[in-house]
Amino acid sequence: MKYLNLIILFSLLGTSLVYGQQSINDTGSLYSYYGIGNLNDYRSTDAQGMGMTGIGLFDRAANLANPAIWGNAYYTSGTGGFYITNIQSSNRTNKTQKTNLEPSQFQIVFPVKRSKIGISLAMFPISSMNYHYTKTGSFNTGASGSLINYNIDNYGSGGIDYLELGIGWHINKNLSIGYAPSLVFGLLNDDVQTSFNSPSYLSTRYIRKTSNIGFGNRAGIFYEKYRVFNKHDQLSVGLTANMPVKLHSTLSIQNYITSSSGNVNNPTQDLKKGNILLPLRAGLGVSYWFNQRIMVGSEVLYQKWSDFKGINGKTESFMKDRYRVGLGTQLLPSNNRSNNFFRHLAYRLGLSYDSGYLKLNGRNIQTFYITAGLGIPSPKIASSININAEYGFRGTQANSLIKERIFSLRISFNLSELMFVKHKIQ
Amino acid sequence: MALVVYSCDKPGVVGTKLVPANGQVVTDTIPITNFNTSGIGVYSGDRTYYTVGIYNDQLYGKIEATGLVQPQLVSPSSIDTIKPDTKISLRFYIRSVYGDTNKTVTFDIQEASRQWRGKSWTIDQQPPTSGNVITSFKVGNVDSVDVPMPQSWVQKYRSLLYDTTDAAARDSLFNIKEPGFVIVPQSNSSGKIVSFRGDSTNVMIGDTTAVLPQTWAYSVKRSSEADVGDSLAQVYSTFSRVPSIKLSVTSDTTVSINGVNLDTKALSRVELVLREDSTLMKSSLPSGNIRPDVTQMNVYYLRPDEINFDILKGAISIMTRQTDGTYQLNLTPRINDLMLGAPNNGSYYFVPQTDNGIIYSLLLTTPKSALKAPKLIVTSVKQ
Repeated sequence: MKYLNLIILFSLLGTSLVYGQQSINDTGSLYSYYGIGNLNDYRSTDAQGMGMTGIGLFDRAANLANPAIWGNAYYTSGTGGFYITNIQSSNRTNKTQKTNLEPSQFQIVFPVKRSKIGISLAMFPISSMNYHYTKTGSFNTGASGSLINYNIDNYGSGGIDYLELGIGWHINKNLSIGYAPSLVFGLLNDDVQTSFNSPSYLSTRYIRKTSNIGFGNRAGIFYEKYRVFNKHDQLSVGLTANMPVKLHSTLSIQNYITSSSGNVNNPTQDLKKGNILLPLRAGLGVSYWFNQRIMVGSEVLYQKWSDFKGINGKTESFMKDRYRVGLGTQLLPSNNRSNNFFRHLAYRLGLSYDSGYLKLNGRNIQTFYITAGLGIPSPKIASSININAEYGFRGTQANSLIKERIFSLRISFNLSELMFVKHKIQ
Repeated sequence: MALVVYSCDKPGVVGTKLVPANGQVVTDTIPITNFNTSGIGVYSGDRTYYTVGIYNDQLYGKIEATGLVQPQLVSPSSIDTIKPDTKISLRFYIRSVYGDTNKTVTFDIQEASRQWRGKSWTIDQQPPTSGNVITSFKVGNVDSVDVPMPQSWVQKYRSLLYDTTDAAARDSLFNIKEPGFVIVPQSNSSGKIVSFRGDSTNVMIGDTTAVLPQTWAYSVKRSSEADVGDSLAQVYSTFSRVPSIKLSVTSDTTVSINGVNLDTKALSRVELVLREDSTLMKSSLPSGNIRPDVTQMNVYYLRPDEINFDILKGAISIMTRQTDGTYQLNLTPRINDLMLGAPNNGSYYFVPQTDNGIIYSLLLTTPKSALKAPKLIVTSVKQ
């Protein structure tokens, strides 16, 4: 336990430096082909274990979900982490398995005025495009009539990220508000590689890239009240809203062209410029502490994806409004000093339903999750490691779609420390 | 015309029907519009072979070929081998026959009337015949012929050898006084054309000493070609009439060839297909007659300033004849170069077999041909 803080610190630095995706074997989810990829909800690391994002949940660690909560910061807190996701995809006849390792989010919250005004600096993904599929085919050559077989491999990568600097103000003992402007950016890549079984045919490769940049705004309100029904309970309510984001987007294509000398040149040319419109996002969360040990919470998120516009300025027929509902609980066995390690842990459990933002082949691509988490606190300060597991299902095998069975293991490091404070000489 | 090639899910890969078929493999057929036949360089000297004879080809017309060869002096070390009674002959190695293989034809060896130079000899030049026949010889179905030279010529050769008045200028004097031979087919001896190996037309002194020739060339007079219409074109290996095409390639975010936008720059194969009319070629040849066999075409890429000269530039590629009578050329690297900004200021020229002194002929279809016009077959991945 003594080295926990060091482990957390190095882990935080590590996850902040390696901000990208690494595939372990094959990659991702085919549903991430659509829109801006699979959506990542930025969350409080505590709330991850409870099937929620944490809009209405006050915790000591940095909480990405609601800017208003940053005003309550007492410690300087940093959080970061990564997650491993295993996706088993299946249709009615075939099954395949893919595993990814990705960083989750990085955030530091500084209390400018302790428990009054806090500033947050964060970088986090809101979507990730991560897929690989292969199509095969064949054709007969005209003259010799020989059969040529080919493979077309499509690799999707990239995503949309936020770089955000925000402020939270704890107005009074019950009410906090917060606001966070952000730079929204990202690159969505579709890498198409074709190979043939005949040396007479050149392999080809091109990457369609959509680069995006824009500015986002979000605001939050957080209300908390102690002694609501008894002298030990606490009720928190959070409300957040993200304004629509207009991304200035450029669609370009990078061709890999082999010259007669055998050199491969890869010039990039712009194809189209336009604006992608990310829609309004709103969330409401409630949490209730029965006492200092047991908490339950619930929240709902809404995103008006039917307003989404692609780079051609048109709405997409396969996109629809999204709802996400979460319900969870947390148990702290002991808030006293105890020799039993397991009584210091935080135990979390949750459920969530996500209607998704895609409607393909007449079916909504919904996701159900069961989540469970453990919080391992530092014995002396508010630092912790959260280990959260998610198990869920996305999509369906009906209507030529695929069903994805998803298992994620998220490990988050929360470092909380009193910084810039001179220690008194004992 | 575009053909979308059928594709399917790879076994074991799930749900690829869920996503659009990005990167369809498509085959486009693009007509060749800028097709010409022209003479671009008619030099015929110092090829590997030179050709002599008369043959009346029903398809390619009456061909009258006259050869030229100039011997050189024996090396000074061998002078003593030539005595007054030494036998001297000219040896011809026959490489190729065009016409009736079993026919025996007669050629005259005439003294050339003037000096000439193989390097600058053109195929349409009038041979410098003098009418002075040194000797004649017959060529039947054989690989080589030794033609004994008359004693009068042997004495002339010896006198030039032993001319000591100006030993230093002996070679120059020899060239002036002995400008070589013109091998002329006798006008009543048609039916067969033969090609002699140039560097092996030796002056044989006795049975053992061979004196190599200095230079050689040939001239061809062609007349009465068959009218094959505008859907076919007779083309020859001598650069006197070769087909050429010029491709129009424009490249921006996609590439267009001959005005056809391919909607992609991901080209896997661009194949030029030329086609011969094998049926007419065969049917126009009487039984027992042959033409030098064309198994390939040499491809040259020449700028306008490079034509009408002796083509010394190497061929960029070879199109091998396929069993269906087509000749295919992979142009993918060239088109890729153009997409990368290389200049497109030349044309592709196609020489039946090779310009080696043997007369190869071919009947190619042109863009006017309804079904078998030359074309580009482009296999690409649509973007």
